[in-house]
Amino acid sequence: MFINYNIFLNNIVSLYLFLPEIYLLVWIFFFFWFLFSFQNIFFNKYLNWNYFLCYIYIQIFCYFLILIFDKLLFKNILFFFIFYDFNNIYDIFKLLFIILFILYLLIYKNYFELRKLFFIEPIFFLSIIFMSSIFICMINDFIILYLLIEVQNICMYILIFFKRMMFVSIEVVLKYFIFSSIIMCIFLYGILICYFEIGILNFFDLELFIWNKLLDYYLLISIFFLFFSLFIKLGIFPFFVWLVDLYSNFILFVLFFNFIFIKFIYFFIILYLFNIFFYYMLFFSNILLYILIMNTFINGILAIFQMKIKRLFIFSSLSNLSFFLFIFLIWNIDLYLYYIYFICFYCINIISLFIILLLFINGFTKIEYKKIINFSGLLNINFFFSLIIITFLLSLVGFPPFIGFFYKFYFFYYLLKNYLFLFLFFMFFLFLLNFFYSFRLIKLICINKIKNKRLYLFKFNKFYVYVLICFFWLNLFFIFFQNILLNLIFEWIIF
Amino acid sequence: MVVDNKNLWLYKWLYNFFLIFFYYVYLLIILFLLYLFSFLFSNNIIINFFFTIDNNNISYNVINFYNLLNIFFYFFNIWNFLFVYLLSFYGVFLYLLFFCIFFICFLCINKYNINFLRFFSNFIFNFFNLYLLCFLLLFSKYKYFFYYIKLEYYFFNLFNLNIIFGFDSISLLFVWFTSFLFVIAFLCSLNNIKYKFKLFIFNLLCLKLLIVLCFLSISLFWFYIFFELSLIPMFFIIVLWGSKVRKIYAFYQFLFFTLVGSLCFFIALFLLYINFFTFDWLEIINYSIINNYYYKNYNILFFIWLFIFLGFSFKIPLVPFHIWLPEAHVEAPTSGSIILAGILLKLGTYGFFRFLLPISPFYNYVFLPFIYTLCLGAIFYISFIILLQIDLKKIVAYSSILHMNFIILGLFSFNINGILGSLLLMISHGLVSSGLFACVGFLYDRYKSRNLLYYSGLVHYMPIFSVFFFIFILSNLGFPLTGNFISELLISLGLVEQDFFLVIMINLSIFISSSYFIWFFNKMIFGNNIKIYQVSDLSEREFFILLILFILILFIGIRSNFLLYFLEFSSYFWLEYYIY
Repeated sequence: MFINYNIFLNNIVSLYLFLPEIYLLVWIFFFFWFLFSFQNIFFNKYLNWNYFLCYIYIQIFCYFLILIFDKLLFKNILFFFIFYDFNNIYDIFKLLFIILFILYLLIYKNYFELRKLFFIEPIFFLSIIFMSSIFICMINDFIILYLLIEVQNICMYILIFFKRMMFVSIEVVLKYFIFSSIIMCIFLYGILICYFEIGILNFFDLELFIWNKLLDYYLLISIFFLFFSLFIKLGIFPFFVWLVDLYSNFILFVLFFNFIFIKFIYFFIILYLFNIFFYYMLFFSNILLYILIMNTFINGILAIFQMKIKRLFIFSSLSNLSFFLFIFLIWNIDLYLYYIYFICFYCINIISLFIILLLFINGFTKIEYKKIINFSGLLNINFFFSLIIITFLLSLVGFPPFIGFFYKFYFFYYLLKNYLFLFLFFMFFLFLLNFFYSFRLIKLICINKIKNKRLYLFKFNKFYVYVLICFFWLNLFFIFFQNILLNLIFEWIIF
Repeated sequence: MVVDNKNLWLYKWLYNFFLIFFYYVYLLIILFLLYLFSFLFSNNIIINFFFTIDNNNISYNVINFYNLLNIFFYFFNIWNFLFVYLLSFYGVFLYLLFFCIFFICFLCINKYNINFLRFFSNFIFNFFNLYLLCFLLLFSKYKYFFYYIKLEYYFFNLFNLNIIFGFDSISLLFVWFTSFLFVIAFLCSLNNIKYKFKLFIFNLLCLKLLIVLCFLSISLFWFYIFFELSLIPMFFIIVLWGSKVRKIYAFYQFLFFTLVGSLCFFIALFLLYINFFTFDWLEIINYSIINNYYYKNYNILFFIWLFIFLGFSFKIPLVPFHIWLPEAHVEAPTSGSIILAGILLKLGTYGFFRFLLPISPFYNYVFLPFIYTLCLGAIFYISFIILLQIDLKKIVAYSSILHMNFIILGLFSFNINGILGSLLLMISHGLVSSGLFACVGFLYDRYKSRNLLYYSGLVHYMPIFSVFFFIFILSNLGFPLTGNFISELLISLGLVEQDFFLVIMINLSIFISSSYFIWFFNKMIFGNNIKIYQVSDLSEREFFILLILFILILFIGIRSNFLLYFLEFSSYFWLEYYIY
């Protein structure tokens, strides 16, 4: 980690001393301006979408400006105690959040226009979550981190509760509320123990403390609780059952947002905390190894027996989370490289799978698209669409030369480099196990006869198809530009 | 009744003639154009010619293409330069370029215009067959090289994933052989396949490209990728055009056996990378020879040897892992089983020859008794298992496993006779087994049954078929004047130096299987014909297919020197320089 010790000297002279405050003022101004100038929006059900999107794009543009002037902006004295950039990897995360959010909004807009659901609420809450996630990237304090996560949670309750009339959604919201409050309690408990022992909440000071002192058992306990809560939130092995039931009853666009956006925030937080408590994480590496094996094993088996599409995708994504856990076993600078691989893999596969799902919803009524059987005989109707689905399924499992294969490639490479032969032996069989569920779907697509006659009336939304084709080429020819991409990012991080 | 399209017969001959006459002119023009085009590539390409032998001294010439003038200093002889350099490099790239162009043209054809589809796909397959045949004949003059083409792009800098093509006369022969067998597979599937004809040929073309690239690639990484990707077209061929419901079960077996094997190979690949930091095979072996790597790190080499052995033994298949083969053969269509038996199994033995034998001579000798016992046991076991079979395709499939074991025994004789014999057996067995599968397929088209007990007295209705069938069975047994006889003779000659007892045992097992084959032929062809209904004899197309195979088998049997001279140098070189 690189710390610029000349921050104070540089910024006292600089003219940009009060830029962040100015930015915030501008943001608030825009907010109220839109609020008052388009009052009809709040009372009219059939609103004009372009105003809202314009509002959000201005917001995003402002964030983009932050990213560009980042070095100048957030190195003043006022913000140092709360927000600070440690490393250049956090810039990448900001960029990633912005890209993902724009992509999500475009997909979301198309979805809502097709469904004729013109509501204002989700856009506001999504934008607040986006703002908080950008601020999380610049975090330097425990309490602020906690508060920002809570802001996200509150927004998520309302988003899940979007369909008020359905009985299921009430149950889901209550469950989600209870579970996430328990999780945040555990998280807060971890912070409290840390504060009780050391009396520090600032990450910068905490890191200095860890460098100077050898080992603190209270801190070890607090780290355990912190990671414990975050793992429950992500749904890693022992605590995945609650999450699967909830996710399967989510509305699809919220679920999509959860997978595409909110998971990345938690990935970021875990990586961030891992960097700070790097030394202490050695104690957990042995346990994490067993969790990793069990996570792939149980989610892989459960994915085989699923009859609903949503649940299958959820289980497959949960089993892929174990590859995320693998970063805890790498003790090099290669960690970041592996991490970027993971993000590329996760983005491309999960987004494309959800777009496939969205395409299916437009083809069917609500009940029908839930079952896997509707995929049967797709090859006879649309060859190229089925080919795209097959490639994504294969890459999810790790078939060469798709992106998932490189992921597996790195995985085996580090295992052999560190002489973890027993672990390799387990993973060898678990990779084979994952082939089952993908080939089950492929078999349905290729062999079985058409069950649902509505497949003939299948209409493609153009935008979804463009995104899908784009991701398809990314997936297929990742070999040819992986090095450019990775070297660029890697040099950026190290620099 | 099966009726052929009459027009097709005409097209075929016409285009073959056209191609043969205009080929050379065509090739020279494009070569000249690409010579000019080569200046564009010149920054990124490094080409090494090495292993030119002068008075038994190996000279290792490395030529960087950064400066084109260097090449003229090395090669004062312009003629040599033109033919060796340009053909080796652009011959491969021309192949890929043509393939891409034809592939795109093929995709543009309307799928309901079946006649034109047939015509055009026939054109593609025949074109590549003749292209590679010409390539092979041109290279028969310059077979004393190992051509080595390396593309060092910035894209592949990480982990040294450079694309490396390398070929000598052995791999070139196999490349031609794949293109030849795909012509036969295509011709077999012409009337047989009605369901999604375009998709079928799409799969065939993909599979052909992948297998050719497998034979050409010297980089282990790219070999692995092409090796594994060939599963997907094979999946479609077995599953979509397979015969029964059991095809899914068969495919799952095929998939998981091969995946286990490829994962083993994957681990071996990484073990090699951690020690040598490249995937370039020739670089690895040369490094290990120069630094005496064999003697220093025998602990790691043990695992590398074992994992490579396991990886290919699933594909060959050796006996404990052979269960998928009969199932896959039975469920696949005729053309699919021709490709499977003809080429895909040979990828395993080719992998043994290229990648397993040179890695550590020490472990070759350590595992030698194990492999001999395994192969001998397998030969006896399978020759007894054939006695129990009723399904016609299963009989041929099991006999192909038997021949695979012969090939491995020949490779592990560490002797020029044995290795030449095994290489020859790969090709001759590919011809014979494809002929037998084609025969079974023609019967299946007429009667819709593969049960042996159903057939009797075929000679009354199908005399031409029965003659061909007899010839193929004889050649499968290793009758004189066929390719199998000479190759088995060479293998036994090679094995005599290692173990005399082994040769006797092998020849005994041939007797067991041959007795069954003659009985089975007798039951099918002769006897009463009360049970089965009357059908027509072989059509023009089917006659043509079997005739080509018959001529080639006889050619290898009588003029085997033609192939042996072609293979001799490079196999001898590989044996002397790398395996010892």
